[in-house]
Amino acid sequence: MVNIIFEDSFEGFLSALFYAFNNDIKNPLFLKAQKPSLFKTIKVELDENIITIAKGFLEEEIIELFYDCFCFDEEKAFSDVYKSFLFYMKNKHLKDIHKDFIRNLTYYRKSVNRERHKYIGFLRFHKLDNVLYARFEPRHFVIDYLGEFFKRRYQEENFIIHDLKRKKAAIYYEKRFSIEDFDKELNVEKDQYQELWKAFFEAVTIKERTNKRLQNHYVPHYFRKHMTEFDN
Amino acid sequence: MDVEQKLRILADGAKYDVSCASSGGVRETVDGGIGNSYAPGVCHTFTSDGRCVSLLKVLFTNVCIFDCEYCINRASNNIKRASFTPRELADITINFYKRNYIEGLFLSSGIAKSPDHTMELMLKTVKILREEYKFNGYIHLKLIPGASKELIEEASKLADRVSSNIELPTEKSLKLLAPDKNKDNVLKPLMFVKNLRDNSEKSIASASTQLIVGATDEPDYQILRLASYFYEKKILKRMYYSAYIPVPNTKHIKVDKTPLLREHRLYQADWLIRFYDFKYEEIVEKDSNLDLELDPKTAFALKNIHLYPVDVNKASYEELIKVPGIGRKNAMKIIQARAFKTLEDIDLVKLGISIKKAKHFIVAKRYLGYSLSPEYIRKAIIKGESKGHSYTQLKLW
Ligand code: SF4
Repeated sequence: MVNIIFEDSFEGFLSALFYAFNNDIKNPLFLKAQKPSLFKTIKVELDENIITIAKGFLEEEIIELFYDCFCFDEEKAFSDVYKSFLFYMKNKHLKDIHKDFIRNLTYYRKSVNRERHKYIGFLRFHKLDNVLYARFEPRHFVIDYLGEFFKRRYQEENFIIHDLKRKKAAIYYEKRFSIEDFDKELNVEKDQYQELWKAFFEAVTIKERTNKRLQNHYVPHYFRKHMTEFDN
Repeated sequence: MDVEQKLRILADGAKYDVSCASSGGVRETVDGGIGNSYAPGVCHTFTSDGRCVSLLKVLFTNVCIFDCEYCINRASNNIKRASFTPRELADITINFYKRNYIEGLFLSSGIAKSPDHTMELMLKTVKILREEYKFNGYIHLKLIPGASKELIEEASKLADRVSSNIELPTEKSLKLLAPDKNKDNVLKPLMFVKNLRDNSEKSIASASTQLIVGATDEPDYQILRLASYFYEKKILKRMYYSAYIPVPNTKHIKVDKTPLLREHRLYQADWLIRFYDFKYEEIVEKDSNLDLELDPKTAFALKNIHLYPVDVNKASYEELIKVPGIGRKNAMKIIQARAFKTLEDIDLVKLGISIKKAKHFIVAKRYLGYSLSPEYIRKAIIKGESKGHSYTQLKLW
């Protein structure tokens, strides 16, 4: 077994896929950060042209699929992508649903998409001086997707979408967008509109039809920690 | 009165379905339907009764000079009244939007002073939002029955969606329960919008309406015929059905509440009419109601058992979507998958298609589990469904 450490970005990951393929490495394990290990470890540098290179071998659709699976952000997903990549290089398609590693890709993508979609609704911003600030702890890497989404929505604002778990943030400041390492937690204060929102949330509930199970189904508890209307 | 108190009263007044001061997408319950079949498609939270909150749904005022019997805000009802100012409401909306609490505003209102007076206040709110605050989120405006053509046209230019509730399927019922309304003043706003849309290059809001189901005795047949008419003439984009919920002290309404299941079946039938090319006469018998025990597609299949079983390896797309339990998306999946191999029932499961219902109506390689006995299928499906029903999953604006 060989550990392959890649730079933590999709380009970094793609670089590692091609590196492993070109060097015919058996049973590679793809890792984002270096963990102590008994196995041989290779660190792959980011190739600046990797997207162009990848486009030469893979259809756009496939790159997008790999990207979504990369966002799943687990080692198992990385390795299934690699196996699918090998399969694709040989067969030029990924339609064989009888292969576990190919079927899994659909699962990763679904899970990532579901979380992205949920957070489009569930993310909460706080108004700081000249910036809207959201913090949360997503299971997957979704801040790039959310950043792009809110860039369109809040064109005239500045915002920070902070992934506390990965210590990264999507930052949109004076119309410039970037993903950055972000380790400080900003201070947020209560404001009037949070109170109004809670009042609204209460008022629209039809008490005679309380159905907490259904509510839990739609807003599982792990989302609620950063949602204004739920008491934490 | 402070803003928080107003918000409580005017959100509360808008949450019940029945009143012109509410609704439109309020209780969408299409199963197997596409999640975002109501316009803004994103849920920002769920209330403890399990409904999706997507819009700031409020009344501008719950003061009303009309006296519709089915409505909690009617003039003769003794409740606490409140009104926003346009500025107050615009500020709440934009600040909620920036914190990502909502997709936009769903604004309706009781009728204070006069229809035009009320409509003007609502428009003022929307103008502050659109012009001053550069708000580009979603806006649904309720058109006030009896408001002038100019105001209604202005509303349909500023909003994404407008609606005017027909409330009741016949003029007779309207006269009985909503003496201040008539076919003319509830339909006119919708006709103004349609005419404007037909004669304008600019984007004009789409229109919807709501019917109260069960307060009067019109059967589903009459309701679906009306809906089909509106869809055919392209007057409406959506029709919403709202099971009647009792309000205190009614004179003419004799029923208790209407079962939500009836509303649910109407949505399913409506869905089949809009997206599956069914005609209303095919799914509901003259002067009667939909089958409460079965979804309308299954009911159709049982009445037309000679059209089944459908061979999943040969059938056309049109035939596939007539199979209960197979929707448009799944029909496409089947057609794609069978290009690679002849499908067995287990392949359908692998494709993520639930064959609980479909199994009675299809053949596949090595699979001949279909039935030709409508009675048998009916029993089997009803038994299967009695566990864990989902029609009470309500979606709210
Ligand atoms: S017009 Fe009728 S339905 Fe509308 S708010 Fe007034 S009483 Fe209610």
